[in-house]
Amino acid sequence: MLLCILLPEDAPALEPLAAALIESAPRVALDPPRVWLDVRGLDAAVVHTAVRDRLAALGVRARYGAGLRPVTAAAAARIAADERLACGEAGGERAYLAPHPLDVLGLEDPLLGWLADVGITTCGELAAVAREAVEVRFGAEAVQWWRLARGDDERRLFMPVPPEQPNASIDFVDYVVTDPERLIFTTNALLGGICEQMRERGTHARRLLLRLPLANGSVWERTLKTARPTADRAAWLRLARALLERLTVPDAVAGVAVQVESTEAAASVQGDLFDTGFATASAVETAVARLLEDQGDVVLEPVVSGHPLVEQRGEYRPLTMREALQRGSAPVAEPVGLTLQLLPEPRPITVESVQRRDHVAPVRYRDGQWRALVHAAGPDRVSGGQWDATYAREYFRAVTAAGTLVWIFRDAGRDRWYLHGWWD
Amino acid sequence: MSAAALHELRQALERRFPDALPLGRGLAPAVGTGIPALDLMLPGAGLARGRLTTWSPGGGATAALRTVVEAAARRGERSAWVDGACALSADFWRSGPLLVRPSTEREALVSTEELLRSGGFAVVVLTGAGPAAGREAVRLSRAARAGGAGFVLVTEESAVTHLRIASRIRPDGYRWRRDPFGEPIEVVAVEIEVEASSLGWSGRTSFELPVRTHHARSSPEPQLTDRRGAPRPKVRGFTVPWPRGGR
Repeated sequence: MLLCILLPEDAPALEPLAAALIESAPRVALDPPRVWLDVRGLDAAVVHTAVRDRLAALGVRARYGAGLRPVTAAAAARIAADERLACGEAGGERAYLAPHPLDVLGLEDPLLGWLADVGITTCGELAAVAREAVEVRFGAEAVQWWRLARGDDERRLFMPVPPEQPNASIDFVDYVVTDPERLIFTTNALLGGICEQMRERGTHARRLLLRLPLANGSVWERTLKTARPTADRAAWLRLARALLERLTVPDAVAGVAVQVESTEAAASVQGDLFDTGFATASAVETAVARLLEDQGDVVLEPVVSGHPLVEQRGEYRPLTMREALQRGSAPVAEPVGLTLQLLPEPRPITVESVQRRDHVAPVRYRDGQWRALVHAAGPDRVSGGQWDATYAREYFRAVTAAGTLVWIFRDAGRDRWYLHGWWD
Repeated sequence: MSAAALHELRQALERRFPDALPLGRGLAPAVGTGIPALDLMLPGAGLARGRLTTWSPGGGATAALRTVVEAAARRGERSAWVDGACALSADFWRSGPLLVRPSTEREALVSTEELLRSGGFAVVVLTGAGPAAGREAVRLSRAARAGGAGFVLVTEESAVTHLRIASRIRPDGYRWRRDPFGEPIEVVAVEIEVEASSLGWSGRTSFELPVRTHHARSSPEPQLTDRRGAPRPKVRGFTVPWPRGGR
């Protein structure tokens, strides 16, 4: 049941009124010049009396209507005389509204006048007209009023109250704690209850707030976050343990509180049990989640740009949990070959070279020891960097006497040689 | 049943029946390498699951092992590559296997153990973990056994291994594309010779793999600045003109 309070034009500001009304009903919505009260589960007459007395004390004389739907409650408030409560009929909204003039819906000119011109003056007369006829003659806006005249009002003035997030706490009344192991023990017990609550609700937590009230009155708090939403106590305890074992606080701990900050519905992925990739997905998810939680962004994907310098061409982008699991089972088709392995930095080397047409070609190089080159293909000239550090390199792919294909280059600007990588 | 519960069950059965051979272990097929010549040579036609295989670095080891992990992904299984040295060039990595690049050698070992023990991977390869990987080989092989994954450690340090593999490339094993002067200009393919040995067994084979080179944008002269595609900087909304004689 909804209680609609229609305030007079000279009513004071709504916010102080709402503060007074919240003592009579659990939820109040402001919709000037109306105030809505959610009286579901309460006796509307009792609430009306309390509210009327409260507003009278503030010098406000309003009109009151009650109904199951907003349209009947609002119409009842308009119809009501003085401060008495008028009630729309439950289940008979259309019949209740039918004899009343259209202005009880709040309908105004020019639409009110247009309807009157064709002889429609009451809610019942408007409700009896076909929807198409209303839409064709008076436009889409008139259809909304036509719906209200039929008592068809699905507005939700009050959203459902979300359930309280799982939480648990304990206060050390007669003593304080300074030993991290005891804190971990207590946190483990609290996490057990919270994870059980989440499993019962079918939810997984994304973040947990760990609060430690201290003996000096201050509060130490940190947010725990897993790589994937979970209701697994072991996963949350691992994070809490890692935090508490390194804990440094200014005073002894007087309590522990754990609060779920955000959750999402526990989802199960459907798949083929005989598909080896699917059958082991949960084990992989657990392992990857632990890697991400313990070591940070270590599961990566290369991103290649068009930069001429190979060492600046590639970057690694961290993968999210979902991406990592998808990448792990993606098929590939082309054969793999020997690929370039790069040194962290090009390593200076000494090179002996010979003149070959318009360039010099290396014949052996010294990188700790002399290594003879049996083949040298090149040069591949790469230059650029007009707007930052310039570079001009002559790259050679050379095979050593030991059979390794190495990548060396001559810095043409400084006339120095470097070993950049090898193929393996 | 979760991997941890399965692991506990296995341990309980092994304690109760110490002489029994797990049937599933014997029947589980080896991890195919994706290289027919290598599968033909190896006992069980692939890398043994739940066992440690060491592969000496160099000589095409990376290419062969990347073929192994990609072949596993292609079969619908999961595979992982732990790049302890962060040496892989981004140009040549393809989606499929899980690529893990920890920041230290110790984290590389921890990551590998975690992946091996999970029981969700057909094959895990660890490269560039240094001498520590050899020292921790026993621990890692236990993790591989618990998870049933084929584990390949690229190192020369390990003394304990189920199968030891070494590959090499002969200097004349490269197939070149040559210019009109007969000089080599591009490597096309390479022949890799592989030797494998285990307790009371050895084998050798060779196979050819292509060589991947990135598309270098070469400039005609090293002293000339190559500005093709280089963006011109903008200063307060105006585009800076090219320097005189630049293009």
